[in-house]
Amino acid sequence: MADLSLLDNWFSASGKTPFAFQRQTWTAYLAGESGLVHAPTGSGKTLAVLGGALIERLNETQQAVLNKRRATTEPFRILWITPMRALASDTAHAILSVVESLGLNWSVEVRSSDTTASTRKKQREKLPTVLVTTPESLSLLISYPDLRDRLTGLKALIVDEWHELLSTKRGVQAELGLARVRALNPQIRIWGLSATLGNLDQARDALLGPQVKGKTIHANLSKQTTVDTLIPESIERFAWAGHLGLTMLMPVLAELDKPGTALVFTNTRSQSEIWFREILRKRPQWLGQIAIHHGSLDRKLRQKVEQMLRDGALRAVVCTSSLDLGVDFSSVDRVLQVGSPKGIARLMQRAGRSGHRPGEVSRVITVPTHAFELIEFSAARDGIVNKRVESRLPLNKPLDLLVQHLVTIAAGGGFDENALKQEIRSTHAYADLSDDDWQWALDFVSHGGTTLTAYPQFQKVLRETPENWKIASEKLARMHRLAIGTITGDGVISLVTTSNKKLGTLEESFVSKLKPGDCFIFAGRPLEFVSVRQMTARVKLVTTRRGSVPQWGGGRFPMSTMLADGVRQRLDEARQGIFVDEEMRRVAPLLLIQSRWSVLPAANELLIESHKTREGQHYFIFGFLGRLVHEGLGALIGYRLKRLIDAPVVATYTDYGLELLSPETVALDETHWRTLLTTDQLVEDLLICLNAGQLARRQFREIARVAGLVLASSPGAPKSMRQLQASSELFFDVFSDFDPQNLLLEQARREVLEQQLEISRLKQSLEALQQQKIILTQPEHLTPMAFPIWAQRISSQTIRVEDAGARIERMVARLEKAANETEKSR
Amino acid sequence: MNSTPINFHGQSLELLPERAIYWRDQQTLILADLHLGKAATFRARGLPVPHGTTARDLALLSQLVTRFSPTRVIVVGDLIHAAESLASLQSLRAWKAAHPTVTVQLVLGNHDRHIHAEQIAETVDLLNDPHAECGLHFTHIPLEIPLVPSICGHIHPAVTLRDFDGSGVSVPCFVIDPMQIILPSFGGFTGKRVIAPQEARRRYAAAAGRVVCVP
Repeated sequence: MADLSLLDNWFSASGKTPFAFQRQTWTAYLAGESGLVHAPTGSGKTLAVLGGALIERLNETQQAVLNKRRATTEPFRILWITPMRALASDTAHAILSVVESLGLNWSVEVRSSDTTASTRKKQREKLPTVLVTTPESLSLLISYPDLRDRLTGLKALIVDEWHELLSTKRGVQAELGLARVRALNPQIRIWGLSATLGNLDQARDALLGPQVKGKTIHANLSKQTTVDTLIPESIERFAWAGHLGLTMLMPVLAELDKPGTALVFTNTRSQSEIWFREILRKRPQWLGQIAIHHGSLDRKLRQKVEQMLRDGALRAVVCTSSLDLGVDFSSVDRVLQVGSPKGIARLMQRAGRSGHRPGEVSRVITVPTHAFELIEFSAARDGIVNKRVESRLPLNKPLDLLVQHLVTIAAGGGFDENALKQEIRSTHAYADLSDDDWQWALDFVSHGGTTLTAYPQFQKVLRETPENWKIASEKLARMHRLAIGTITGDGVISLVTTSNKKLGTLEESFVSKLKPGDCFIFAGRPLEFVSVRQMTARVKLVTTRRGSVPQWGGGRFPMSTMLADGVRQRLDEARQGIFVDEEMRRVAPLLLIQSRWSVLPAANELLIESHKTREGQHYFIFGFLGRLVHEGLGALIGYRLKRLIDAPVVATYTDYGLELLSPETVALDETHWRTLLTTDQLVEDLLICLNAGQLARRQFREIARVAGLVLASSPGAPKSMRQLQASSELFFDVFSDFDPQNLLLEQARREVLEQQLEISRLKQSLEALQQQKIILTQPEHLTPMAFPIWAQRISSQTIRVEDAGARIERMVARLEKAANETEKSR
Repeated sequence: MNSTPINFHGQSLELLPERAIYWRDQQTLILADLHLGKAATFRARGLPVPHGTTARDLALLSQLVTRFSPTRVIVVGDLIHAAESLASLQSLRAWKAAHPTVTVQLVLGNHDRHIHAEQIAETVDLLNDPHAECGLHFTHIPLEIPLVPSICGHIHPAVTLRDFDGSGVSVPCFVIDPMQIILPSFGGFTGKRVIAPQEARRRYAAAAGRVVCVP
């Protein structure tokens, strides 16, 4: 049994007792084990994973006096990975206060994209005792040859908020970085921290890789969460769809009027800007007491808000998922969630931002932005009470990241191909990487593709011998470092005032629509656009109250299947006249309209509404299977419908269902629908969808960036890079034309097949739909259930089931016809 | 042939779906922005773009030459992409050797600054910038307010076609303003920029083997 007394003493000296899960983790750590700790935020999880390493250090010193005045701090010992840079500095503070009170002469530093160049340079010369960093910065770290040696001597590697990284490419990037560190330090212990997930053991295995048997330690702290909804006064006047939800502004203000600090979570950055502006408009006296926080704000602004929040100096912060994680704000008294959280786990997590301390109740006030969200809140509360929490699935061997990693390692001092293959196979993501795929990745970075002839003059990674691969030039290494990172971004433009104050970033697509003199709101401030040059937009502060709100792409969560099931159950109850809570009672009148105009489907019924407008014939199919499944179904059924009626079809999908729209009017009966929903020829049809449609092309965007094909345009990029601008679309076309076997294209197809068109899931869904009774209605108006799907098309969540060339041909032919007719009528 | 005739300051020009103009009276093909050797530039700088884009562009040019039998080709700038593209001039020499009756003339574009006159002396005749002929000016970069009828390139114009559901897709286009024609880029491995409609401006989409005016 390991000696935990040193830390136990420290706890009792500060009048506390360690929790059982903390001591369990220390013991496992000291026994040389790795694993995953499952604990909610604010439960002392930091001390759980850090404690073992602290005891280890204290035991090394034995009785010797720790000399605090020694000139230099201790060498690099612990690497701490966090998913968000906003968390890094807080984590570092928390660790530092512990090691200081233990009298250890440790330095604790952060390294992220927010770290200044001079600090980074200093760190390259000497790493701190504890380094807190992000997966991207870890990749960057190992891309420097001189840092490789400094990574040895590492005792522990800790990954915080692993659940956040798990099913993302950033998670795979972390796995690859971990494998590198482990190869340099075979004795290293790896510990992850995770919030509640449906698949904790799988999460642990993904972190540790197939060769390490790890432990899962549960905190088992009973954490009570309550969900209360601000109920709109009248459902009739309430929006059926939309995402602003400002109808609820007054009740939200009433909540914020109460003493204490509140976090107001919104689902998008634009939404946070709108709410922030509207709150200040109604309560101008709160200027300075309320703040805004989202990922596109400048680091300094964010840090200022975080500090004020910590000091309890704010009444409220309107934020996005940028404040979902970690940062210990014990001063937060209330959490509001504007709009649906789309998942049970996410609502729990956000609720956990209040009542942060063990034993306290976490309370979240949910604010509906449209009527159906009342049902979602009701279902989410049910999920929390019954402990139904979603799983997150780890990704399987993304090749784009593999080629990125090969270049990273080549830049970081080179590699031996066999040793590196073993190292990469020690990760969960690439455990079953085939020799062929491995060879392809090597070929790709060394001569472009599988055949030498296809890529003459290509230079990136040079193979001198099988044991010695290295980057072709230091210039390429620098270019690669600029491009490291897996988060897809539209071109990011820095936003700077005319007096050179940094405000944050905007997306290129938004900036490109601005004309000088246009006004918009950013960080709650009205700004006038002046000019844009070299990825920097200049603005001046103005006093106008008008102005648009910037749009940022991405970031909309799909509803989890678990929550979708819950919604379906609630609707079925409503049909039987059962309304279990206030939310359901309030939404009842709307459900009544739905049942009058069409029907409210029972759990065993598939409702299909058809409706004719000037746009053409709409079919709304209510599957209640979540957006991801509906996207796949939209592609499949859309393709089959197009084949059946020989007319273009566009599919739109939401969490509740999908819409098929065609300009041609066709009457479809139940037999038609049965045929459209059949599982016969499923694989064949899906492959046609995949090849003809735009799905793979769209998926390729991110792959091209991660694989280093499309260079992120950034303010720091050298001028010569401008000659290397080409869109992912262009790459997609040129590969399709000249190297159709290219595995990155293959990966785009594979990702589509695994994500949108996942065959087994679609087959299951189709089988489930087949079991249901089909109800066809022809309502005169868009029904309450159809309207949100129809409205979704505007925000272009659509799939086309037509080949791009064929589509253009059809549009050009139509234009020509119209032109000829005009000609004749003259 | 799916070409679209237009009259521009007394000259009849045919807009071709292959993103070029045929000037029949002068037996001249007019092109812009070939960016030959762009893919080679990418490869040399560590971006794996497959081989074949330059050959395809030159093959398309051969097709046009076969169809129209012009005596010359005028390129209004950006014949090549960058310093690393100079090797593609070799392909152009081979192309010229295969078409000895065709003269290739070039108004230099911003991407052509790496070309030394002696490198291309036997293949390409350099023209003045602007080059004036039959009342038309040939230059690379469009002018804000052109004072003489001009034919240029540089911006790789595109136009958005609208589908029945309101969605759009952008395709290369010719921009015909009262005093200026902007050609789409001829090179296949080049980007494009959507050009907004404007008073008295016509945009002709060049796509799907046709040239059509987009209202």
